[in-house]
Amino acid sequence: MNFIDIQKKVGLLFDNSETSVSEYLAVNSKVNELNKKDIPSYFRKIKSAFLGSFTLQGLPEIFRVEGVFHNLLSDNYLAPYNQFSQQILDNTSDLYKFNPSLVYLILDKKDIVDLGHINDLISKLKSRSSIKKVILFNFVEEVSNWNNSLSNMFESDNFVSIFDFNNFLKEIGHKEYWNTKYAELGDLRLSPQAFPKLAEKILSYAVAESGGTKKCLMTDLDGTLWNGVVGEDGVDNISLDLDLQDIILQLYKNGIVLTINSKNNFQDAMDVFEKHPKTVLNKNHFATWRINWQDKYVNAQEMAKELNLGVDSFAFIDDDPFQRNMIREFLPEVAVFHPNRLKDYIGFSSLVITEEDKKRSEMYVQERQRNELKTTLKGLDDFLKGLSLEVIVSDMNNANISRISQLTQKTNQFNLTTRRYSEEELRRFLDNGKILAISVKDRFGDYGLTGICMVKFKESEWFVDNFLLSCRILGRGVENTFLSYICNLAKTEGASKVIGEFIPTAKNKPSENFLKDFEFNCVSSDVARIIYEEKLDKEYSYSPFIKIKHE
Amino acid sequence: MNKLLNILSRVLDIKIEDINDNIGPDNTEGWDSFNGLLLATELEKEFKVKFTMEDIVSIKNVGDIKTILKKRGLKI
Repeated sequence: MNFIDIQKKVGLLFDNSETSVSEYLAVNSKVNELNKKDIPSYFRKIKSAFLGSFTLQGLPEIFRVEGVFHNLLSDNYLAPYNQFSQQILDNTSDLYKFNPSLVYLILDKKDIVDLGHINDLISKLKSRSSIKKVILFNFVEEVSNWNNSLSNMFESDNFVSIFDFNNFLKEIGHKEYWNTKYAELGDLRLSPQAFPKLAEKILSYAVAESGGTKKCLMTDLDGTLWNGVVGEDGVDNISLDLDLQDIILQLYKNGIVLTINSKNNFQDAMDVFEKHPKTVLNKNHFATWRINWQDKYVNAQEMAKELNLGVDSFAFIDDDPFQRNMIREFLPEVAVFHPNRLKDYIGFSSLVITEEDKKRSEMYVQERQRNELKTTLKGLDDFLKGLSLEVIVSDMNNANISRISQLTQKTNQFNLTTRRYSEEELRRFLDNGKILAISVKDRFGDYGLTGICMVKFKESEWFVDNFLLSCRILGRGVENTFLSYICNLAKTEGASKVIGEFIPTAKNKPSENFLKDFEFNCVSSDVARIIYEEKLDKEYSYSPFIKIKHE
Repeated sequence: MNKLLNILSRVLDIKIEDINDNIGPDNTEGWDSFNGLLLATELEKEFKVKFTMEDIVSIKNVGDIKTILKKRGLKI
């Protein structure tokens, strides 16, 4: 067997939520036989250590097998039975020889004297540079005394993630899995029958830590988002799977990009989103789609290219085993599974979700809508008119200074001078200068703060020290309107001229001719820089498609 | 019978054709104390039965497993 075969096999195990422990263990022996040289390039690797105060044999093995489903190969270390303290406190222990990046610490309340001990163990683990994160299981208890303290202790500590083991057991059935007769037989306080579900849950940390989080969900339609075949049964006779649609909507709200990959007539499918009274999802949630009769793996490749995402950042759900197997066959890097497994799927989890991450799905949809407008309208003018662009100019302030600094640091292409500024340097700049920023939005959405102009006062002249725009807003007339605004402002404030400068770098070719095209006069030019000036002897006009105002 | 053989084969890591009633912890490398318990939990799950402590500690070989399952009215 090779990696791809194993991966297909694990995919089949994942499709069945009742896969037995021994089936996983049987695959584990096959994973161990693999030649690591054959590991596909889209696989990620991690080293995980498991330390417990009761028997956990079998858990790391199942963790490893399930990891393969997530394109993750985990090398695991299981500490000897109930030796967690020794292993952590002894600098020369096998744990540290193993050099893990993740540590799972799984303790029973009755094996711990007090919470101070846990604090000591965590501090010790923290002092080891290889360890990036400790996943600390909370305690199985009826009344959350210790668990509340535990949450408080590590609330603001990024090094520790608390896994809600107590709640996990409640969900899968406390009585069936915790402290059964096996607890007395081999200290199997946690029944091995709980391992497959547990391993899947806690893999989320390893997948996220290794950078393997999926970004895009690709969904089938008939038999997946609804029961029935819309092309044959009609919109009125299908029943929507609202639970599944709710889960997908929640993913969208967390920033997961949604796409459709379906064999259907386009209009039949769209009718559901437009006309079905109960639909949770609609066109505006999807970044793109392929609703056609082409093979689904071709559709997937096309969409990945269109969205500029790697195919390995896709997950795919389809009720049809044939379609699932086809994607597994041609695109083994995609996570493929039955729709009813979506609620347990951990591949979308990340360790931290920022507000910007949550907006990602929306931004992809807006980009599609802009492109659609572009292709339905005839000329560029019509396109720009249809966008209803608004530019808001604001002076630098405490609220936008960090974003301004960030833009000077990372903007490379449309950047006339590529001067980088820290927040402190920006504040000093104001002693003898002006910093203006623009925020841009259109009818599809808000691009946020995306352009900056920094002007130094040199007696009566305005020297443009920095002028940059984020690439996302180029080609809409915003750059010219912004410079017109600067010139008009200079004139109003009594400046004699505006001096501009272009300093070439390896990356700023796109802005090379900006000042020249704006009809600034070139006054000197050498390899290192080109200097322009503008006498301010006219009124500077704005794009008729842009509303600009100063706040 | 197939169900039982499959579970034994997977847990003990031995071939189905090598399994007979005399297979037990003493003559099978894969049958350690953990796998013995794992075997019991797998059988409980697959055959939807609950063993007693006495059942589990009485298992000395595959024949004993069959006896216990038969006692519960299961055809194997």
